[in-house]
Amino acid sequence: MTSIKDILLKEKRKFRLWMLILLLVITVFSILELSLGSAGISFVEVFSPQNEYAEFVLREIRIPRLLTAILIGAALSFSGLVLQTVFRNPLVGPSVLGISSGASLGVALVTMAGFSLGHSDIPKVFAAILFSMSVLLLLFSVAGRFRDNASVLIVGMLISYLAGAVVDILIFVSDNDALKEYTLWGMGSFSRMNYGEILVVATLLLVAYIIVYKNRHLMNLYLIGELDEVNEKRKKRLIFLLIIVAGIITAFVTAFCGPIAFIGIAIPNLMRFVLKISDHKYLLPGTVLLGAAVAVMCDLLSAMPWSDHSLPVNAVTSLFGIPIIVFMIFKSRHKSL
Amino acid sequence: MSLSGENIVFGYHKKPLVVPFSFSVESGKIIALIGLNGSGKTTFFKTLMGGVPLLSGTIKWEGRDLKDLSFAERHKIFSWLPARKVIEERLKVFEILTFSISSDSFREDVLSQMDEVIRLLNLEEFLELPYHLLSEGQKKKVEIAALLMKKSPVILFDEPSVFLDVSNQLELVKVIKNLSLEKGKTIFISSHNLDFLRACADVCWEISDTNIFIDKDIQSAFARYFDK
Repeated sequence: MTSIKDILLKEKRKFRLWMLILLLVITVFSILELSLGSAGISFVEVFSPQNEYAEFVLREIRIPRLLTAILIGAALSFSGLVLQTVFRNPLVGPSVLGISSGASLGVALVTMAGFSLGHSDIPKVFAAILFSMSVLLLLFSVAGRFRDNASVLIVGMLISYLAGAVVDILIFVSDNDALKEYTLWGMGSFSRMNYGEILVVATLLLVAYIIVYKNRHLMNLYLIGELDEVNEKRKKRLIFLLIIVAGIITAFVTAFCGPIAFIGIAIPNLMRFVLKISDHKYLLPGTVLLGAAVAVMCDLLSAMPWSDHSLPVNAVTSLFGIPIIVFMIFKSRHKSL
Repeated sequence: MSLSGENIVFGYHKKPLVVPFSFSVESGKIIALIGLNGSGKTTFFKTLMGGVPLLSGTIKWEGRDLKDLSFAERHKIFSWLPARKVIEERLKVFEILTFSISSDSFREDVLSQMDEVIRLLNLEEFLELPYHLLSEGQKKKVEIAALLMKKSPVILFDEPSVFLDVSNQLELVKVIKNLSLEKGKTIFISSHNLDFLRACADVCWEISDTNIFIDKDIQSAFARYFDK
């Protein structure tokens, strides 16, 4: 007969194998990303740049961009997974709480309502963080009054629409240059962060990851309904903590890179599909690595190294993410293994 | 006398559900809890679990006042299976079982105890199936197995027989009897299914208009309940 020990051992081996594969994929994509592009840097030069130009391009452009892609992919997938657990809904992502819409509103105000200071990105980032945090606070001030999580979700969506309406008004009255600047921000990019900013967001993500990982057993208990009814206090505390953590991560990522679409919804689903496991002990590290791998891949595709043009990152992540989501919907409606 | 209560009143702050009553329960007994909807059966369970504060009186487990126990200690003594449990559909059976223990790695003895519970409930062939593919009877068995993983000496069942067909009900009766006779567990079963209760219970508690009638004679307790 199958003993529970054999099953657990099998799961562990499968998880380790996939982690190894993902690390390998990230390494390969990273080397590709560093070596492909219009600057004509060869594969060998990635490891030892032959001239100052190559060194400059790598240090100032490609390495920060690669690190950003890895970081943002990991961060969005992480907060997507956390929110999918909180709302017990695999189709939820970092954008549902209205946090990225809040960020958009902040950036729209800066670019289109004349609060911009020349070409500096700092006011945009500042406004995006300020507004997305305000949305989070607003959400929490009303969330305490509801019995269930679905209400939080609905309020989050309504806040999104509200922010969208204000942004529409701004778009309607603003001039072409400002409109273009806002639109470009909305397409998302991995080339906007410097080393200092990367360090800040990476530290935040690390802290958030540790906090959530420490709660992995509680998250598992939440999934089997053990926190319902008699553990309501612990459940509320857990949900508050998880939403705040996911919210802050989403706010910072969106502020620096724009609203990156679908990674946050698609990657946790893809990880669950690949591993066929729901234990957060495995899902958390797995999702973070898969997110990083996919983001680097999307960035590589969006740079279109075979041509002189490049695509907005959001277009690529959408093209990649939406089929996965559609597939997941079919899969979950279809009663099969 | 492992579980006892003295002049206890449970209910909600503005609405006590019973007049003060006392009880004592020997371990290994199966108690049938009957009463109309809203009479307080589930509230009594929630009170034992610490989800609803006791309004007055004391409940003691092996001489210790429950008030002095931490939340975790309380949950080691009591486990409760609500009538409806929201379990994530995609979870596999073995995950539901392991999640309820909350550990990253399991010692050999814990693993063999888990296998024993799985055998007891005949769940071997379902271990790697997702929850949503199971029948209602199988789901109930998985929930009971997850409950047994916690090894608490007192088990509170809320309508365990609901949705179950006759053969599954009989199997459940056997499992419950086994738990009380072999493992010495104290088991409360709240139900409206009197046939099911008659097959399991040693004692009957009836909550009726804020009074609790404790009766060792199940037949006469049920007869009185029917007369109303």
